[in-house]
Amino acid sequence: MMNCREVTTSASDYIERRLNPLTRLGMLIHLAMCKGCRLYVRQLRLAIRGLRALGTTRQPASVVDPHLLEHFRKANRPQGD
Amino acid sequence: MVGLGRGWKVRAGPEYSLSLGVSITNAAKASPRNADFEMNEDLISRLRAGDEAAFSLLVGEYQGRLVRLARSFSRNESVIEEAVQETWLAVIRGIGRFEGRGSLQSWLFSILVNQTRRLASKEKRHDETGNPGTPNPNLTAEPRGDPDEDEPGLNVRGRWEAPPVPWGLEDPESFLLREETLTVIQKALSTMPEGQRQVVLLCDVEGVSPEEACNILGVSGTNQRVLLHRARARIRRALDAYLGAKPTGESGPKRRGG
Repeated sequence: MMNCREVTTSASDYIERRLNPLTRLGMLIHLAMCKGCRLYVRQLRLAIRGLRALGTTRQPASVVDPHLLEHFRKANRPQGD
Repeated sequence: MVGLGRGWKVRAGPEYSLSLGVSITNAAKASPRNADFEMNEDLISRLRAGDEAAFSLLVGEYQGRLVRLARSFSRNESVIEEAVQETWLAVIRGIGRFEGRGSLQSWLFSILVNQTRRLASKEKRHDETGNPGTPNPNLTAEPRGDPDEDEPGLNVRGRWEAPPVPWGLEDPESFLLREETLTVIQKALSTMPEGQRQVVLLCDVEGVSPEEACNILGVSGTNQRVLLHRARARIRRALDAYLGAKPTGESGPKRRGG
């Protein structure tokens, strides 16, 4: 029988379905009985969604360094130009 | 160091958006994640053909993300700036040879990680002897059971003594998108151990696959999983602390007796 420490340390693997079937079953049984661990997993899922939100809310830069563009132009100039 | 300008001054004109807008818009509709953008084969072939608009779009999309990732390896702003510049130059030089076996995004991140490590260790050699390109020891060493990484509410028998308390969020999705929440997450990221930050930035923030993250950082799958979970657990604790300290309000929590 898994204890709460084992469940919390395996929570990411559980969320990503990376546990072997036996461990996953042990986890499901524990979660059915333990409110604290259920809440932990739910909050961990929210933390992951928050991290993903950080990746999707960025503002793409609208300006590009002219020197960098010049390097790009030079690299793509036909030979002998 | 190659003398690229410090500012990003040339505005990508509307014609750039028009030339690539359709494919990118469709990709964004399919998924908000970046993978669709960077997997765009059309973009890669335009880059190979020397399409300046495609290059401007790529730089616009990734400049800030490269800087953010570089900051997880070094706190030296000149190292970060140079690493990002060197990355773009390597892209210019190497796009013709890019075979597309991995994703363009992973290729970009791999170059950046190598450049930042190289420049950071070169910088370090001014103070002490070190090997160039040495990966972060926090990443290469296999993580061991660390009592400090335990959830604080667990007792010695591994059971909850102080179990998590509901956050009482009426609308978790809008809570997560609030600027204040993102600031809490960013602050927690900036204070966590480097190895954890690097893995969670790649896997959760950037959406890189676990296998690609292992290749980019040079870590084992086991190490990647442990570091990723520890980083996520820290973010959960940061959100928990933030919500616990916040007074109960319209969208605030109802918890801990008040």
